Amino acid sequence: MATPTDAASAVPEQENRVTLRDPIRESEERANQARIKRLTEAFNVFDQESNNTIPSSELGTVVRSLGLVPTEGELQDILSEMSDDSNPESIHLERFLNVMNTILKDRRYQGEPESKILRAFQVLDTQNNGYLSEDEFRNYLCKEGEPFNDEEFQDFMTIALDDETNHKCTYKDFVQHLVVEDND
Amino acid sequence: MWHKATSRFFRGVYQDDNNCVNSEDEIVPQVAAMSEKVDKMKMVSKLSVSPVEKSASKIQAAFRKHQARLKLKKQAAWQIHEKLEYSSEQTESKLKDMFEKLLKSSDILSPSVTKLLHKAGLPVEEKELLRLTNPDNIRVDATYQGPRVEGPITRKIFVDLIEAFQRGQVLHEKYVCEILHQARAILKSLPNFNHVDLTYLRHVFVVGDLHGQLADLLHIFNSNGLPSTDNAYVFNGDFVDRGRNSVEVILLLLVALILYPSSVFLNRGNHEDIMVTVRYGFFNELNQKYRTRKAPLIDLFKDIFSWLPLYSYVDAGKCKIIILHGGISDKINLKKLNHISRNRYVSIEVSPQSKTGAKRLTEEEENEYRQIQDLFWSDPDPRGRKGCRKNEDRKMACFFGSDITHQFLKQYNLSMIIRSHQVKQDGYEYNHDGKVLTVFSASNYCGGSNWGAVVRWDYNEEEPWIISFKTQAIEMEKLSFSKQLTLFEDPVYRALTEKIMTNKTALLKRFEKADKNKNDHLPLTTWADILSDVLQVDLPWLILRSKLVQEDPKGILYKTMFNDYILDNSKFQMSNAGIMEDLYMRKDMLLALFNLIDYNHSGFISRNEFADIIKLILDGENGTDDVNDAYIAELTSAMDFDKNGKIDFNEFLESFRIVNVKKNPTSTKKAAVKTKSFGLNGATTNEVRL
Repeated sequence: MATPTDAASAVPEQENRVTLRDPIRESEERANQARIKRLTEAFNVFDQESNNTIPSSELGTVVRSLGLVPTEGELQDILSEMSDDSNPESIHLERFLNVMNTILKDRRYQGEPESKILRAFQVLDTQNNGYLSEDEFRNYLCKEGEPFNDEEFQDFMTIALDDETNHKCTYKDFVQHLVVEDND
Repeated sequence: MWHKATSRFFRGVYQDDNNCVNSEDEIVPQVAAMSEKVDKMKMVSKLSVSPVEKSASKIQAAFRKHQARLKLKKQAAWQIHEKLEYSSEQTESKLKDMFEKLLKSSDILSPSVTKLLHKAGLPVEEKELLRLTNPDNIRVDATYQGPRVEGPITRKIFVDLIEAFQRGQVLHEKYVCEILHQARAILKSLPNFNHVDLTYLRHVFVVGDLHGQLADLLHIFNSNGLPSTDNAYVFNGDFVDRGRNSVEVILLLLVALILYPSSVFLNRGNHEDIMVTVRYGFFNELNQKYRTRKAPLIDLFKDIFSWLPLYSYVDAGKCKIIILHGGISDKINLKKLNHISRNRYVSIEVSPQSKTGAKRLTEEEENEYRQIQDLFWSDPDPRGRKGCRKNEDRKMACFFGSDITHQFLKQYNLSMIIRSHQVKQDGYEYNHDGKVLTVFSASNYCGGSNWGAVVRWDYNEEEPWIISFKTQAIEMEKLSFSKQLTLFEDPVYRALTEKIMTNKTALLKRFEKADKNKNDHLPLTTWADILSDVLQVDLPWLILRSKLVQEDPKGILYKTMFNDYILDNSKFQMSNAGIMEDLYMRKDMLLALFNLIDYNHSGFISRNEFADIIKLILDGENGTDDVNDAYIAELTSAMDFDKNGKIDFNEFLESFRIVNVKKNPTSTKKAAVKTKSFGLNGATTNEVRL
């Protein structure tokens, strides 16, 4: 008795032979292509000389621009994975794509939702005022966690106080501004 | 509007950026410092972390992410702007090719049009021009409150003009003509290049593209002193176009020239070209500010442009430097260029008439014409390649490599080329082992965030000083926290939207073809590839996509790409939207040709002339002589709004608008109310006549 496989191989090429599509694999493949393209685009934006490299010092910006939030330590790990010993101050596109594609696929270093960030402000707001002053911010953000340097703190305060006149930041609005939900 | 400026002032052959590592020895301590910091971080994270620490980290992370996104947005917008700019400047080469074609075969056009097109390339008839713009014949109305230029031009008048322009005043055309006449006389007497001798002048400032940005020019004068006999300046072209004060900028430069002809030097740029200025703003500005006498003024400027010297040669004692606007190529022959009749090149896009009277240029004349193009349009090769090749970005002139530079410098015993022509983030950039220096002086150019720079060379120095600066308009009201610039208001994205909308038919066709399942969705990469292919520009589509189109987990909903905007062509009453898009796509070409034909600048051309232009354009595209006459008739008829045989080009441009549908919610509301009050049972469609 012919087994189904025998029958299949015995049948000659026919025009109306159905090729089985694997929709799951197709959509995975498409997602992968989209990831690679998205990564390449972000890379190219910072590739000033159009020679498929970016300076290592820009890696943090590029990775964060993709919506990821690795710590400085984690960033170092990522950098060492993709940098080339013979040329440590720049990163080549190929290596970047390799390492970052896996990171994106595994959904590592994802950012926090708006509610969690709001909660974080509330924790710092020990008096439950609904706002924080510049000094309070300086106390927390330049000393704790992964401290801001002077420039970062300046930029932070500029945005935080943008709408305010009395040197206090009503963080609820601020949080909305910080956490932009871009589909990426 | 007040302006504030920030400057940084430093010296060097190579930029000593804080982030830039210049040598091997500097890497190790930097990396070591980084890893030290990292180990400390790692240690901290292993210990139990307090809620305060955790919260602080979360906020810091969110902020850093936000800043990175902002930087990406800015940088991307910058790149998009550049790419779109190049893509629009490619019209230059298309026009040039078209005019070349014209010279070779004028039988497809009516003789009158041919004659007019030739006229564009001819120098203006001098006597008539001077008569039409004679300041003595121009009366100044009693109501005129602006500055006056009476008697010989003095330094006081120069300063008065600066102050008046700063207050936003417009100089009366009588005085404009006075200045232009005097400047023209001086320019005509100059040789083809400026000789800048630092043995006497001691130092010189080199200013790059200004593009009508008055604030930058004034800041340069403020920080480095006004031009004078002992404060020399070279202005390296592109004084006009794009900025809002092209008229004031060029007037100030010409006054400086009149005051100090031995220490103020002007080089021509590619924008000092009548065919370019009709498309990039100077022409419009003249139209607006000098309505009555715009035609002769335009002609006067056209003539003055053609008399601007081609380059400057600086003798700095130990070094000799050449300053030119665009670049060089393997064809440039300075000895030859020093002897040509430079005013024959009225516009770079229209080749001059052959001196032999024949239709075609001789080989030598052709070579000369190519040299001129290279001088004003070339760029150093952006990919660092050697040799000389066609400039892929501008589609005319060259990309030149470091070997070309070295050879050129060696041949003419020069140390450096200083050029402009390209905007740079820092306002300047070195290429070719420090042998080519680009200086660009229009800060925050076209809404970007670049610095402007000025170069200063002192006698017997071997390298220059570079001064960079930024000027910025200060809004007196507080900036709002949620500055939601709508997509449409941002000029870069507006240009992008225009490009997309005018290619709507072609895009939809490709999208639908690729949509194999007919479910209105496309995979991300397919959508992006089609955009790059149809629009002929490679942009970061996936980064931009949330601004351009809607999507869901199944993919890109490509039809939504055209939801927010419509090409408002209701005035044309044409059924075929494709034809309107065709016209709009070619509006740059049409504009250039139109302005050529409309030699008395009346704003109108006849239907026949228009039909001829369209034929010319379409011929150029398909390469066949067989253009559908019916199609042309339909187009021409559509353009003649009042059906009076004349085509008002400004009306044409006005009626082509990309309208943001979302921004007119009131009209939608009105329509809805109307139907309700008439008791109609709700509209069957959501269509709104805007």
